Amino acid sequence: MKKVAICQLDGRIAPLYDTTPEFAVFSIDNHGRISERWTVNVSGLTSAEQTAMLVRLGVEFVICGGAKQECQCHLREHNIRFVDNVIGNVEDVIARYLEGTLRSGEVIN
Amino acid sequence: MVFIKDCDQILDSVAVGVFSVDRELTIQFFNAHAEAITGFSKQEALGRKCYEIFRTERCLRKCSLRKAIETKSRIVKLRNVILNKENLEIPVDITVSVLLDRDGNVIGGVESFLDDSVRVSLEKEIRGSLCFQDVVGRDDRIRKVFDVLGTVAPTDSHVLLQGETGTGKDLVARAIHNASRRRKGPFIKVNCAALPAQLLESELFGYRKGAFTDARTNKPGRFQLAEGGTIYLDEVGEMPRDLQAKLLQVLDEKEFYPLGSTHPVNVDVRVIASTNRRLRKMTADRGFREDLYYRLSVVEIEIPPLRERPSDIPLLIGHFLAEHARLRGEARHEVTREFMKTLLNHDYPGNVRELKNIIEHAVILAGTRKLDVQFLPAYLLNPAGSEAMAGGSGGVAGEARERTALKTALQSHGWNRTEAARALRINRTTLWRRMKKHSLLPGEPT
Repeated sequence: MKKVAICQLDGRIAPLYDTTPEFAVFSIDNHGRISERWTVNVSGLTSAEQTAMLVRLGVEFVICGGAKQECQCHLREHNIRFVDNVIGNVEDVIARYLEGTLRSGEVIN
Repeated sequence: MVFIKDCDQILDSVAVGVFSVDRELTIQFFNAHAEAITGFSKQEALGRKCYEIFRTERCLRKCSLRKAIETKSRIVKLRNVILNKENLEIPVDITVSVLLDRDGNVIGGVESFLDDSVRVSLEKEIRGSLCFQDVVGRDDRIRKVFDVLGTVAPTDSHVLLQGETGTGKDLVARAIHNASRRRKGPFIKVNCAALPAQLLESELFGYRKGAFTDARTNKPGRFQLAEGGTIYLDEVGEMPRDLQAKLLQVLDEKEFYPLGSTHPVNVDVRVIASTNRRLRKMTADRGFREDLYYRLSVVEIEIPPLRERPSDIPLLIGHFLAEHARLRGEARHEVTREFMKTLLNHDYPGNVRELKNIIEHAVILAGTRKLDVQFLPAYLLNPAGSEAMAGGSGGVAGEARERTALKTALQSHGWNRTEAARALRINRTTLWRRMKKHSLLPGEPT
């Protein structure tokens, strides 16, 4: 089981990691299928607090839009891998992730 | 929109980023310079929400473009920071405006923006080179001090600040503390010249109940109060020799014995000491312990007097005027050429503190008027007064003038030291020290 979090704003990837209002969190089973999904509200949290929350949730992978150097450091410090600068809607993006074809800087829909 | 498409070529040729959006904030136009600044291509940007491409922290809370569209207005010259496609923060200067059709209906908005990186980095460089925390100066000597402070502050080394009265040793000590890893700990100042020897010892090291007649409870000393932080020993050259030994023990062993105690107290304190005397010379005269001098002066910083850095006078005047305006919420006072000239020609025996007092004096008297010479303290317009207080470095004649000025001021204020110090524009401690030097203390023959 693996957990992936996506910065989400109105069903699309939120433009900045540190101002994202919420994360869409996906549990992915060993067959690469989504077994569970839920939303975590992180409004008002700092980037460090957001990252700490992801650690507590057991998230191993993050998909986001822009991520400042400071935010990237927080993620790396906690061994959370990430794909950044992604634009598009969350459903399409998670589908690309599951296919294994998602790359940093991609604009999807 | 048709009009804007017709203008694509023109807008692509201007050195300003421009994009337009419809009423739903979807990007409809994106020029070449916008591509260069954001790092996103036109193909990537068109059809996206503007906040997905022009990424700022204000987007979700205080979007200027949305506001311009909703209020049918134009907002000019806003400073903002975007995160480009390389995840680098780029400062920008933006102007936003609503777009209307021929009938005056809102069809969207347009945003133009300039890369402000050069200006912002220049501003940072200027700010950084002209000040260290609250200490201000552009003279080479003071900038060298800033360099040393920047290096020394984050370490735990003890620091000795040397400089005349009023040069800003207190500010420097505070700045070192604020820039150190101890900044969240206490900053405790002790003026070693202001307390009699016995009292100074109990103030610094505290005492145990019963240590002396009035010691009814345990009292922690300033060293204990400074635990985890910094203790600032002002005028350390005035510390009695027997206390110097006790201070040496704290520096060496990081422990001391409070008065009346047989158990040592351990402390983790950084010591910053300051003096307006030549401590090295005092060690030769046995007025100051040589071993203590070397322990305190791990880093020795000499703060130059204001008369040796006259190029800082206009900068400091501007700084004090701005500070005054900020505190009072008023517009900054302007100064006349004569006012500035008079201040530039003064030699400031009281250094930066004296200049600050002069500005405060002038600002209060001037009200909302421009600062002119008539608002300066009288002694500046009658140079004899200030020359007299410039003493200490003026040879026998200078010493005599200083003694006369002190005596006159004390007599004319009924030997009230506070009043006399104010009239002479020096602080009470300096007055007391100079009175001592000239045998003008009460009870001494004058």
